[in-house]
Amino acid sequence: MWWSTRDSHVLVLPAPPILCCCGQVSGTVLVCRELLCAAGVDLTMADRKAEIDLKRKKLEELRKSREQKKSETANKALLTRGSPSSRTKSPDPLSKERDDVNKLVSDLIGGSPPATKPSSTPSVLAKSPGEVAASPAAGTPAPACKRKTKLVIEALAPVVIRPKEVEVYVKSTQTDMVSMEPQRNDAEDEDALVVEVVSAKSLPAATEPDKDKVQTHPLCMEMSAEQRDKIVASDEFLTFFDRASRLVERALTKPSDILFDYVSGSGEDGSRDALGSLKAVKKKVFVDERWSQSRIVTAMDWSSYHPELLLVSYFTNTNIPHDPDGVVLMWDLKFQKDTPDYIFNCQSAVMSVAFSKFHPSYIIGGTYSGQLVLWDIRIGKRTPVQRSPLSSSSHTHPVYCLDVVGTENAHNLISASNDGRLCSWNLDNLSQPQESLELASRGAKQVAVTSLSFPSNDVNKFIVGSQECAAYQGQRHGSKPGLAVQFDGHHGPVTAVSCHRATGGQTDHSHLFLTSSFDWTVKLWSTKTGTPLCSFENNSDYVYDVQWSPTHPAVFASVDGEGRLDFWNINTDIEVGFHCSLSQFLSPLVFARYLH
Amino acid sequence: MSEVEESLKRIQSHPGVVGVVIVNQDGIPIRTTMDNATTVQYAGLLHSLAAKTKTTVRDLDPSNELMFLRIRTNKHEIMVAPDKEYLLIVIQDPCQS
Repeated sequence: MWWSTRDSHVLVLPAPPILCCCGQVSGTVLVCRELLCAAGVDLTMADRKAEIDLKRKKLEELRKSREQKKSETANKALLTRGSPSSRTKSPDPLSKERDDVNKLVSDLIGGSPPATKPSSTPSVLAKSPGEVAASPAAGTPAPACKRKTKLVIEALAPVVIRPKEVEVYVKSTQTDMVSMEPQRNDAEDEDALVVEVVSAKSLPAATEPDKDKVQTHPLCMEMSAEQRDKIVASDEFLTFFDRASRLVERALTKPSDILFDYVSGSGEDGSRDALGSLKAVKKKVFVDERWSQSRIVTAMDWSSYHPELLLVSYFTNTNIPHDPDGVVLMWDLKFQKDTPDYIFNCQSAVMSVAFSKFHPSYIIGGTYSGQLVLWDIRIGKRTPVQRSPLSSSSHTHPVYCLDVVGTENAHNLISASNDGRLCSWNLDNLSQPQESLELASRGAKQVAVTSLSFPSNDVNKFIVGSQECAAYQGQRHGSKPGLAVQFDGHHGPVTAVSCHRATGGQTDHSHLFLTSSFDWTVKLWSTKTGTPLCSFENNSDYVYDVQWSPTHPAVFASVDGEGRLDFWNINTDIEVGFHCSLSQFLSPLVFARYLH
Repeated sequence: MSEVEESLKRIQSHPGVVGVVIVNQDGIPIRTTMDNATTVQYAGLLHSLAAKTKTTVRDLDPSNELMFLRIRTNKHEIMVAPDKEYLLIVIQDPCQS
């Protein structure tokens, strides 16, 4: 073991290759590997280990002593400042050597290195020998001032170091995100709300109504007039508008002022009359400017599915030649709209119309040309879905009478035309009548049928009124199909027949029927007798229509050309009926099948 | 197309009706009988309200859908008939009818 002559702090240990560490005063660690062995020394393992341990211990002791010496010399240096020469010589050879070195260096330099903080002076001084020792190795010493520096306690100025400024940008937009996208049809997207900027733009702009909207509103500008017209002309828009306008019109007509206050508002007079139940009040006039103006009403029918729906057919409008001849309008009594719910057209004037009793969406019309036409409400088209052909097997004269008879499973459409032909049809196939019957009277002459009526629960027997001033009873099937009984009594063409409608009850009135004719009378007949039972002669004009009431077995109504509507109650009076005048000329009359 | 205009005129001439607006799915008014400022205001506000109502109805019951919306206020009644793509808005003053 020997000290390096060059570096006083490096210790070299002769040992076979082991790592040897020794600590320098400055704190660095010097690692020496594979130090040279003493020549000729061969040691055994155990001996070597023992030696190593001994040497380690020695090394540690030396290290400790060295450190102690260092601290002593540092203290001494503190006491005796500025005069390294007055440093007492320590008995330690190491410190002696060090002092010599220090002396040498200080003489060379002429002073200690520039004054540093007193708190670190021991370490500085402890460092300084190391630095000084290292300085020859390092090279040039730090150039210092010649004068002897004094170590002064300096006042520390507090230095505030600001934290590094981190710039943060607010990543939000200036407009409000308020709106939502209209709900999509997928069920999965129910919860997703997509925020749209579109209506958000419109909201702030809308709150400034003073500004010129055309300029500050980019959305309105996006859609030009042509785009709007295109949208309006599109099919989807038309279906939407059809439905929406119907809804809105129904909503508009209800005079619901739910906020009406009875206390503060003016009291309403009761508009109900105290008169008897037979008073007829004109509830509503259904007129459509476009379609029903200057057209005569030819027939009416009620729907069996929705009692408020009324089907009215109109004659040709001679004023406007380009309009279709046949017009059928469906009116709604429940909502009392001013416009028809549905409008149907056809090429030839519709003389009779009927709801299909067992198909909720079929409407049948019999036309002036002899064709039968079928409309379907569901399709939404105004033109007929089916038409019967103009052939000799079907009608060739105007079809004045239409009726759907039978039950749901077995029903037929019966039509009668002016040439005496009675046809029965299947609604699925209007191309050919199922059967056709020639109505001929006793004289084998064809009967010009004007009206047709079936008794309540009879499919076979029927009553027809004709232009030959007589009514006939006939049957469709049976031993003698055709007309059987003739009822004479009228002096003018029979305009209408009506079989009694009361069903059930103890007495059977189905043999009774009424006829009205141009001879200003209404007659009551029974099928059992050939002469009229009763004649009602209160009118002074052609009586155009008569109908039994569907509920009251003794009440019926008739209309005539003067515009009179007469309600007759046979139980009370057979001479005079209760009547009310209407300004218009009345022709058809249909009692509501179900009274509200 | 002229039928649409006729129907609009008819609705407009109904007693008490203040205005009619048809709005498309983006909130842009297609047809209107009122001045531009009020039209745009009604279109924007009612469009978002109708959308909100639709989602509300659907959330309450997924099989249900909004058919008609009526807002009765002090002065007017606003009726909104919504559709998949369009919106028909009618403003009525019910006291006059």
